[in-house]
Amino acid sequence: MIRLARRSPLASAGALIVGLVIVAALAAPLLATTDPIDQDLTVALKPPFWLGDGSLRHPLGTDHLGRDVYSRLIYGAQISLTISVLAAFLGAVVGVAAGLVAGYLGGRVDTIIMRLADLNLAFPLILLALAVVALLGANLKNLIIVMAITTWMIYARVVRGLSLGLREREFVQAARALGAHDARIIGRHVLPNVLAPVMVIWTLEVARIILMESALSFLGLGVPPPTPTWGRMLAEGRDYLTVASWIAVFPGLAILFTVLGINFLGDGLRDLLDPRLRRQT
Amino acid sequence: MRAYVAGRLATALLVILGVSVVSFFLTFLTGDPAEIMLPPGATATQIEKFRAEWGFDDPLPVQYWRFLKRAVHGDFGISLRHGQSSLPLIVARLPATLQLTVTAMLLAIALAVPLGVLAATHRGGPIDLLAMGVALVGQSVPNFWLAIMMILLFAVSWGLLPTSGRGGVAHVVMPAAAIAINLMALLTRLVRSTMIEMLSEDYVRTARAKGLRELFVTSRHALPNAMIPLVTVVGLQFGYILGGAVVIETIFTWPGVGLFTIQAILNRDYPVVQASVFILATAVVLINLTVDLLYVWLDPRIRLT
Amino acid sequence: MNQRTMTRRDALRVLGLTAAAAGLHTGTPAAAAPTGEVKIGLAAEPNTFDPHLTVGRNTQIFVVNVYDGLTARDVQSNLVPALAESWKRLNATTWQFTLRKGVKFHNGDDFSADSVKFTLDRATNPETKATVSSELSTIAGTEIVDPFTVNVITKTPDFLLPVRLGELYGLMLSPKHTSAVGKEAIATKPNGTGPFKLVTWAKNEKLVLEANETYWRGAPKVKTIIVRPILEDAARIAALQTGEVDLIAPVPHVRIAELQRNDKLVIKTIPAPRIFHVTIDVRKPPFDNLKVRQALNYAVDVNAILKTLYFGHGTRLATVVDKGALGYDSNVQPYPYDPNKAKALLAEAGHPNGFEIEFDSFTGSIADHSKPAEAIVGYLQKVGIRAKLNVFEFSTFGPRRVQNRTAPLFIYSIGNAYLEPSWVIRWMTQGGLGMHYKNAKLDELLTRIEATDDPKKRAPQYSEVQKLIKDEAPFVFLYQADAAFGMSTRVDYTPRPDETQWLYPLGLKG
Repeated sequence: MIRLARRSPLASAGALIVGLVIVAALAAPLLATTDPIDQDLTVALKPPFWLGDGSLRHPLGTDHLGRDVYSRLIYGAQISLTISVLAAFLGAVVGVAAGLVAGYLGGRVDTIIMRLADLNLAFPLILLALAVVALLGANLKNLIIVMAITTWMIYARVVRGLSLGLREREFVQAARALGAHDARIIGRHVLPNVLAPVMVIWTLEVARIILMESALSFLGLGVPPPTPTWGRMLAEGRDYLTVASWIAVFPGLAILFTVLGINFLGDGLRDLLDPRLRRQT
Repeated sequence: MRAYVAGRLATALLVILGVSVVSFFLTFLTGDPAEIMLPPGATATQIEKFRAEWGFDDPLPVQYWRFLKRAVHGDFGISLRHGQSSLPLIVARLPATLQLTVTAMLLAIALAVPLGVLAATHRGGPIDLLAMGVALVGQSVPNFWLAIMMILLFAVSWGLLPTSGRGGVAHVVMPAAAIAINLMALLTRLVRSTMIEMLSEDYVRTARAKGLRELFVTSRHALPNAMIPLVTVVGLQFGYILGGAVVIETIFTWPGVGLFTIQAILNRDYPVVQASVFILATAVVLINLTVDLLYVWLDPRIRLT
Repeated sequence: MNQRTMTRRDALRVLGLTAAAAGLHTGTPAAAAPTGEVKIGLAAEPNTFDPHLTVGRNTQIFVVNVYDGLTARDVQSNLVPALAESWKRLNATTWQFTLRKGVKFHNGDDFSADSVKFTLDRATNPETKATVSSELSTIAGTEIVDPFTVNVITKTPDFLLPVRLGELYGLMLSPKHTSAVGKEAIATKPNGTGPFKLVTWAKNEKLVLEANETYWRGAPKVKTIIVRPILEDAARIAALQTGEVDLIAPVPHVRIAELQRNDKLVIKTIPAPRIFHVTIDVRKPPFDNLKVRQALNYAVDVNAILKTLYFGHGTRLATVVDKGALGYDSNVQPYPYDPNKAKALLAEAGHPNGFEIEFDSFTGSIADHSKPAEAIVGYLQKVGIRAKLNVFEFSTFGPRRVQNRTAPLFIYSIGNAYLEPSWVIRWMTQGGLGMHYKNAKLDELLTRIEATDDPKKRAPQYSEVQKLIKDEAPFVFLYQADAAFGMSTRVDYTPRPDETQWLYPLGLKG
């Protein structure tokens, strides 16, 4: 383990940051100082403790309904992470599988899968989100599904692209000549080669989904209030940027910090997993 | 090749039809326009009367069929909100959106490719770290927040750029930058990652071993192959960019398709939604087709199959 | 010139004729020809200039600059003559309007009784599918008595007809022109009698108005008005700060204080007649118990909500009658904030531990309802009413209302464009759209009021109505919020209290 850590300081740094965020998310009830949805209009829009009439009671200030920004931030970690990681993971699993099948098998299967991707891609996200929310209700589960639906296509296309080329590679043809099954070939030979770009894409997708969640909240279609998600806090804080910037700044920083960590982790993992590099060292 | 293109066009039409049907039903299933079109003092009976007048209470398949019959003649119906023919309303907005999104994409590519290549060829060094830093920050910034910050800084505080609206270079800079930043970050990382892959490929190492200059190696051998996923991703991102452009168009009141469409969706102005979805679907499908064809052209190994 | 207009304005003010002067004479040219250009930034632009297909208050309050109705409102919100010089009720279902002579449409067509008949027939014709048909549904027909006199016959006695046929829903069209160019053209190329002509319109980009120099009230002061829709609040305010525009509406409440500190800008607010309230389904227990409904009213600190969410720019309302409406009685006091009393009342009603209930709100309409809803739900929870907040997108909420599928509590607001409490209260007691409160005594009071033609005699009768509604507490009474306009010191403009963006009096200083 230590050897791995030393091999890639990047991955370690990333893991540390992500670990911190995960801990915050899991230990939210312990770390938060108040109930995140408890409002008190008499202390609305109080600044963080180092400014004006802020106090340590609300270290990062309060929002427009007097809710504690710090506590909402901690609970927000839980929800924002859950949505984006689950959605990105779901999308990745579906997308990579679809891409592998399409790219490797080609022909009819390829066409159907790619056209489905086209249909999905051409469909306005807003309308989809609105429809899901309106028809199925606005809750976490449905939002995860909506986000996953917007992300699988990118994996499918890229993986298909990479596996289209790979089928013609010598080592694959050799394996087939030796009688290996398609599934085995895909698993042993094709999959490891697509893993690296997929991982890069996955880390970026988690970030994109976190930001997309805030865009949906901006339009009033995201996670319903009073649940605190970083995206919702960002959207709520937008109206108060000039008088109470802390409402938006802290969730913005939280997103930045978390995404940074995820990317460090992704990059580091990619470095570790790349067989060629391993051979070189 | 010709058969391939023809087949793709045929399925493209199916995709566009599919999007059209789904959009129509979703628009109505989530609420028809009657309540929002009438003044607030309308009573329930008046709303029902209005709904009947406009035919909103007919069964959905009947309404869709009515719509489809006109649509094949290019008539997507009169906008419920604007009282004018829908398709021309959307088409009139295309130039604005294209101006914005194409500028953004070119900006992103122009920054990402050199940055990514530099990072890959100087891997592990300070240039790499800087490039990665820029990319990471770029992809983490919520673009609507960045847009508002830019307005506050460049337009209000410094008075260098206009606050909103469409126009020439001065007007397009901020919105295009806001859209480009996430894409640029994504592309930089992708270029870097695939370049690293390519640079350690056997054939590249062979070329290097033969003593060919680094730059030559890079550009002749590694770069074209690195372009494959880049092209794929850029094409794919076009759909996302159009989606992201909606928020930016709203902030800058850029009179593009995105802003118009989202207003139509929220207003249940279904003729406009249909027209817009049609244009969008066609655009995305055509772009994907182009990407696939470019792909085949770039990678000769595919062509041979 | 400046000297002269100042003196004229002063004189008029002294005589209190500012409003009446507007309706007095035909075709008096202004003291000087219109000059100058003003740029305006609005949050929304009209959807159409066809007065029968307007959607939303934002359109209504703007197209009045291009058209006129039979009546209008002055700065004190009195109903004054416009295209009709006078009107009287012939019998319970007939109003007679005597029309102004010598008025011309922008294209030169004459305004006469034909115009009125054509316009009203078009509005009520099902083929037009007019969005304003709901508000003109009382009209049975229009009779031309002579070229400048019309009788409008209604199906039931309608005391509000003169208001309906005014700036709200009675904007007049030219029969010859409208029939010639067709429906689609009118949407973007209007031909009205109003103070401004629409010269160009690029949707989502800009709209250009030019002064109508032969306007019957006298030409406006400003020659050109360029309107730009700037949807984003921050961008709109930035445009005002940089001088890109001279006037903006609305200004979000959170920015008012900051902009007031800027001495190059002037912020003016008006109490917009939009009544926020929470509708209670009085049929469903426990809300059939008066004590519970009153408890809801004691539980919510409305003044705190006004202070924090609206930065004090609003008016607490004791009932559902707004401050600018006819007969508003400030002696009817609102329920005070008293959570202990609320809990006591709940206990008396048999709910010492509160209860669970659902509360609907929505996003995306003309005003923000979801933030106040969150605040209200927070207060309810503090007295034991465990309200679960549902947030819908506005167009999704609509069908729920129409099909009476809303939660027993839902927030809403209604713009009292008629400035007449009876109109609002009748709407709220219609028994549909989620509103199920009915009271025979209330009906009786309103019927008597509606039979009184003279507004001065109607006004005092509303006091009893307000007392009754307050005591019955069929709603959680909230507030009306101010509408704020921001302008540079270059511009002279006083917004009208009913929110109408009436640009006729707009002037340039210096």
